[in-house]
Amino acid sequence: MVLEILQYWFVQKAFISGVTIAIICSFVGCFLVLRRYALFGDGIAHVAFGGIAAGMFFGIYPIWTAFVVSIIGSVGLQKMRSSTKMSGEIAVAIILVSGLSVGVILSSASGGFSTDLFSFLFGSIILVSTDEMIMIVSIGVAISLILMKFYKQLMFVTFNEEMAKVAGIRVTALNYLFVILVAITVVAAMRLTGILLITAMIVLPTVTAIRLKRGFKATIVISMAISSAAVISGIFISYVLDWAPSGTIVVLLVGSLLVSGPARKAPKMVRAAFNRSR
Amino acid sequence: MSISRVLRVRNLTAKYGDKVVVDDVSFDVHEGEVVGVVGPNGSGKTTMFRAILGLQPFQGTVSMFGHTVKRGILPYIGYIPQNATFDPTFPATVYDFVSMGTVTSNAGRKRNDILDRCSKTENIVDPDMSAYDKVMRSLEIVGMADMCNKRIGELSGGQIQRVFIAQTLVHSPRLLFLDEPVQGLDVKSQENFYAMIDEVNTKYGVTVVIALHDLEKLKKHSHNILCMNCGLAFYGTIESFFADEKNVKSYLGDTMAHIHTN
Repeated sequence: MVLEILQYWFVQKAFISGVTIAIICSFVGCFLVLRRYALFGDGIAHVAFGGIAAGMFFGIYPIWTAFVVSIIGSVGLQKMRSSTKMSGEIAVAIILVSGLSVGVILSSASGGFSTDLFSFLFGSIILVSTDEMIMIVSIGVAISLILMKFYKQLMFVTFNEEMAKVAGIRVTALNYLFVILVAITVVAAMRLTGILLITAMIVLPTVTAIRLKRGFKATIVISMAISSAAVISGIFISYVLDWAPSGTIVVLLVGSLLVSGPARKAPKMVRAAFNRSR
Repeated sequence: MSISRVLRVRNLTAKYGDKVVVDDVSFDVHEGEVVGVVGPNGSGKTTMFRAILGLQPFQGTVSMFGHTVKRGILPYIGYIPQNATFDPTFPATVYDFVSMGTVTSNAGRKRNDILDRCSKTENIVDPDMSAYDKVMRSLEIVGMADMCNKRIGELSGGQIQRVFIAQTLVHSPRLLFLDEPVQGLDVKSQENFYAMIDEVNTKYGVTVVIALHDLEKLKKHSHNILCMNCGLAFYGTIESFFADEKNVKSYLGDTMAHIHTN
């Protein structure tokens, strides 16, 4: 059964795209969660919805408009946060509703919610085309390389911005670069979980990995592994049971979060039981 | 060439919110000095530190090693902020944390220029070492090398301060700013911390500007004292500060001043 599923090209494409998205979402997610900025991705996803609707309205390939609008939105969000001393959650709320409302207006003006729009809202990884897969993998490689290059700087800024600034790191420029990378990641990930569940891919694997109490690099790697495992098993389960892949993946991620507490204690419990039996 | 002045502050005025808390402050710090900054809570110590480091707007001029500070980005500066608290679940090991310091910008034209201006130029940590060796050397200096794989959230207050120092030492700073670094530490941890600062100062000639409340410790570990009370209430040697009861009174009040000057 498993081998049979793997023979289909559309399933292979879904796996390759899904795992790439899982990896980059975990990478950016780790920095976002630790900055207490977990909902940033959600805000950008809703702005992307405005971009998608704009693309459909003007007859442009919606992913391109989503990229442009999301990058503008993310830079605006960062600017709002840094120059007005506004708290991150308020800035996200403002940007989120702005993007969403524009999207609703444009989609109603272009004849209401179409199937295409629904696929962006709820994800459709099984329908990903070869071109889209190539785009997702290219974006994934580029984002991973940039994040690896600035890994220590980002870790420093995430820990304490002011100490990082005194140490000579160009914090403002790095923050803008980072939010742009998040915006690109979010748009690339829309195909997997859809706009409405994108936060799950960014937040849940990181929170689960943090609970396992390892170092920074290990936390990122564990987060990527959890997320990739959830994507692969989610696609399998959804294929077999005919469920929506996005929902299945997210439920698996929630499940991994729930078992991460007992899982952390498991080695200790096994050791204690072993000692008792001796 | 060697010059002794490493920090020059002229007519520094800075606000905390809308209130001016640092008013027209001028002073110089020379190479190898340990300057204790004292003053009641709210007297502007932290605001002055932040302004000097370019972390907040100010009026006046600040220069370090002969370079005017515009954006707070200068090599060879170390800083530990007041209450440098962090999320205890932050998933960084001691090694991770100190390795962040290896990305600081000690490169470029200014680096050589600054070293030319210092009389003691021995690096605390050899800049040609690999990043791993730099981190481990820095941890050895503060006595934390054996804890490099421990998560920072599991450390005691004293250990955390040592790790903060290790992170600044990793890029061999010539000037350290420490804003109330021993706050909340027990007596033994405080003593260890001062011993570490003394070593960095005497062995490597690192200049230290340290905000403290404990005058007894300042008597023992610093050369000069800078007393803040919105403006500059006093700046001079430790001996001259304690020689005049008026100075101590301005900081501690009558009764305590009597104890300290007798």
